[in-house]
Amino acid sequence: MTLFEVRNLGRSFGGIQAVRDVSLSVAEGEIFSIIGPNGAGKTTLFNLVSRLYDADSGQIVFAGRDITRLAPHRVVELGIARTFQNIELFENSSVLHNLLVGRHCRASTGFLSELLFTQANRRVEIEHREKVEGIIELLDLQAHRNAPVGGLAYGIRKVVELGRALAAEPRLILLDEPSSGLNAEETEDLAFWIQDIRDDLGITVMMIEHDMGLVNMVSNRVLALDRGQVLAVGKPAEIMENPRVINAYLGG
Amino acid sequence: MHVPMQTSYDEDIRLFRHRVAALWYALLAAAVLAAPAILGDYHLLQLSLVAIYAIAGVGVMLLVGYAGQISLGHAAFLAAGAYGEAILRAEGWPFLLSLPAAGAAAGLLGLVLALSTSRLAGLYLAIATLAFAFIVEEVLTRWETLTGGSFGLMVGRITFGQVTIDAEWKFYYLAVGLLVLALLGALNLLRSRTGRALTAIRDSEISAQSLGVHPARYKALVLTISATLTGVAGALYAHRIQFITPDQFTILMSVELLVLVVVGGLGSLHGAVLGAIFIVVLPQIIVMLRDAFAISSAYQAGLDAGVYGLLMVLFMLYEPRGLHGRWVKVKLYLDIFPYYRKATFRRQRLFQKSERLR
Repeated sequence: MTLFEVRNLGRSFGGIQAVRDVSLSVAEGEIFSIIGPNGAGKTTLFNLVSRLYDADSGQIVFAGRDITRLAPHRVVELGIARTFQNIELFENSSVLHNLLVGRHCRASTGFLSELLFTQANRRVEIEHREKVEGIIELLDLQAHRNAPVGGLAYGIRKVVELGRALAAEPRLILLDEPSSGLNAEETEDLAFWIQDIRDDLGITVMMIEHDMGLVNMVSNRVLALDRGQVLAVGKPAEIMENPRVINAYLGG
Repeated sequence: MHVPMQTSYDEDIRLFRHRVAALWYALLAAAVLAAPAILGDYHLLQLSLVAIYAIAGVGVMLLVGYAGQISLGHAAFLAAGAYGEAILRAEGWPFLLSLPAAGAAAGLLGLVLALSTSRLAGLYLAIATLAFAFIVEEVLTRWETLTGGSFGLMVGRITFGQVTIDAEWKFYYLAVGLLVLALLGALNLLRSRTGRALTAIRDSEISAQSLGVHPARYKALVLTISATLTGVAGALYAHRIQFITPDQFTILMSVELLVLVVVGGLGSLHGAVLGAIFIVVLPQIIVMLRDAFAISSAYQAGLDAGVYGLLMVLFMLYEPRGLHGRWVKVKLYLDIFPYYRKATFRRQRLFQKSERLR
């Protein structure tokens, strides 16, 4: 069943057509990778989907709903969470606090009940904490729970950002270069986590990735993008052998 | 060294994390309650002033320290509260109504400012708030029928039905009581969803938004709360000094409130109170220094502004986390003696330097 669909999406900056007539569809439960050289429009595509940019043309449909003109802060409550290429964490806060912000869209406590810190509010806070502790356990973050993220190692910050997106209980998660800056061992952990996210949490994964090993290992399908246009879509093995992809990205 | 052993999530949420902390706060509360029995009227007056500054400080701290928005115009909210209180009291409103109304008037002004500056950030926001404060100051001077212009307004005593706040200790308890309420409200918000949204906007607006936080709405909310608290402080301030004129609410007052939160320590409610103590004590130190160096009192105004500016720069450079940050370091030093390393807090300092004004 199709969970997410993009139809003829386009966006240009000045004279540069960053995304040109891109169409794709992602089935529920799929791990869908996007590859392509620098400047191919991968991150622009993600920014269009999470509504940081407005699309010039085309449509974005999620779970049967047109979200092309949705307000950016409402995307996550429908079920699309994301991470950023250059980590965007709340640097002065602890890991726990960062993950709890991820719960923002999953509660609607009133201003007065927060001001008075009523029992109802306390209950909601503890529920959030329980959810977040589940994610801390899944991603092995116990040791860093109360550490300020500003001082953590790069690899751990990456994992914290993944956890923060998971805390929002999305149906679709967008990972922007999850393995960049990770060493081989961390990348391997990441591969297992991505599969766990899909298998155990039932979350559909869309990721931009340069590490072809990781792409091969976890992806159901791969889309190759070049100069804002779709070169090819298919199974990882097919994409690796596609002459146009090799020419544009992988090198002969 | 203190190692907490936790058995429930509630322990991380409650106001006093462990018994030792609760004990210290109980001692502090006892000292605050006992102050009128020990101190003379002059010192009580100073302590009331600390409480008033601290209420405004909590307001400015929420905006600047937690939400990361800058304001050079908080004197306008202080003025709105002070004039609101003076005018409503003169109209015969009871204090129990006029105080909330004065706070609400300032809050409304804050909301108007927030809505009109919702697209500004950083330096541009600072300039807009500065301009706003000048406008309010000018209105107060020109609207003579309402405000008395530069002649100012007399402010009467506070009365609750039969009870009149006619002694220094009564006013002291009132101010401290309101400060405690302000602190509790702020603490409750900060340990809830709203507080997390505010710090999220401060540290990364883009990812806050991608997690469902509506930045403009929370910025408007925090400026409204901040203005309301500052307005309440302004109302108390009007009663404190009993006679208000527009030239008490100039840019120097806005800067004073900013110095308060920077010196106290951005991002900490302790900092708001420490900063308030600092702001009340500083002028006395300046007077003492002036006498010691035999500087003519004609230079007083310039001396004040100069010392505020100098201290702000020095704190920004050498202790960006303010008095509270210094206290945290000293405490950690004692806790883990002799293992303290200078580098422990290095990282946070770097972030403070580059990202605060973004």
